[in-house]
Amino acid sequence: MNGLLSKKFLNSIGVELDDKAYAALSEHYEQTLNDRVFKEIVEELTEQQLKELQTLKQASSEELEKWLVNNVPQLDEIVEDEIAILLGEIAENSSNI
Amino acid sequence: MRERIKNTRQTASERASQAFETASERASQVLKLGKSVVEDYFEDRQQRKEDAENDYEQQKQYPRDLDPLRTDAVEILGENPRMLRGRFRKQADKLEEKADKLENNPKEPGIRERILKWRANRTKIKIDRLRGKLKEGGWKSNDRVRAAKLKDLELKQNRLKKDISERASRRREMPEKLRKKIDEYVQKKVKAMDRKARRKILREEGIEWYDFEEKAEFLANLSDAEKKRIAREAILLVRKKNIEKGLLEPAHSVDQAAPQDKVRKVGDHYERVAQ
Repeated sequence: MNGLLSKKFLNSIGVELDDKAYAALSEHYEQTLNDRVFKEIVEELTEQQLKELQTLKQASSEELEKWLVNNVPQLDEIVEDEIAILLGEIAENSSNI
Repeated sequence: MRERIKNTRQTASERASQAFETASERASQVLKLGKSVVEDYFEDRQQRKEDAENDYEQQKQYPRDLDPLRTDAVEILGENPRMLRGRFRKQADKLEEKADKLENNPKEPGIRERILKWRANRTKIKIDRLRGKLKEGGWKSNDRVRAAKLKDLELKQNRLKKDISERASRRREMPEKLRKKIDEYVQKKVKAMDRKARRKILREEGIEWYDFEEKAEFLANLSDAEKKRIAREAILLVRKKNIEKGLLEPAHSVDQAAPQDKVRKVGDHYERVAQ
């Protein structure tokens, strides 16, 4: 997977960037998306669940994935919503990019 | 003869062209009518959206207790099952069909119920036969066996009758349960759209709406890299699920849609809310 934001999408909304600018935008996009998804996940969890999540700091990816699936039932929606919102924001501000 | 054929052809072609003209006129009339209906609908929708936005403007309070926000999408689409999309829409349609069928035929038993009734009937026949034989008399040892068998059959009969009545009451309650399930899907969708719209609006206003006071300790114990890892795993997990479902091609990045014959295009959801 080459990052979370594709040049194809940017081209489809009329944004054409060179490699350097694309890399910068892609990094900003990823950072924003990670930040928002993390906040939404934390918002959904109870205190007990947060304590459990803390113990998984050193856990493997599979264990963390399993825990997320079991404890955040709306995970699909959260991620899809945030991606859609962020892409929509990029589309809306495409003239300023 | 040739003249007659020629005349017949001319008449047929004249009739055909007349029919075509009539059909074109009718089609254009329908299109005009259809167009006005569609335009009216969009105007009405726009008006409702503006009303919803004006309501929000008048009632908004910061930062957390927004009134149950009548988002533009809910205002336009309403809170009925037609707002659902994709597999939830299919499931809701199936459940609705099932509920309608049960409501229209409240006394018609389902397959299981019919099988149970059939078994109960057969058991009754066996019981009657055994009772008859016991009445006739005969070998005492046979009577003992028959009596024991009769007892078993009567127990079985009672069990079957109980199962049949349970199934019947379940059948009566089923339409309500199914409609409740459809409501759950709709409410889930409404909550998701509401959440999306609120976040969008608050972000536009530059207001942070997360209340992390209670969770401050947890956040303080996590480094930025760890937070990023959790979010990243969540995103990759959803991506993996979508690839497994066939909604996303592995080679595509998160925002790229699968080929045309697949279902989802990221961004459509947002556009619907924004309209």
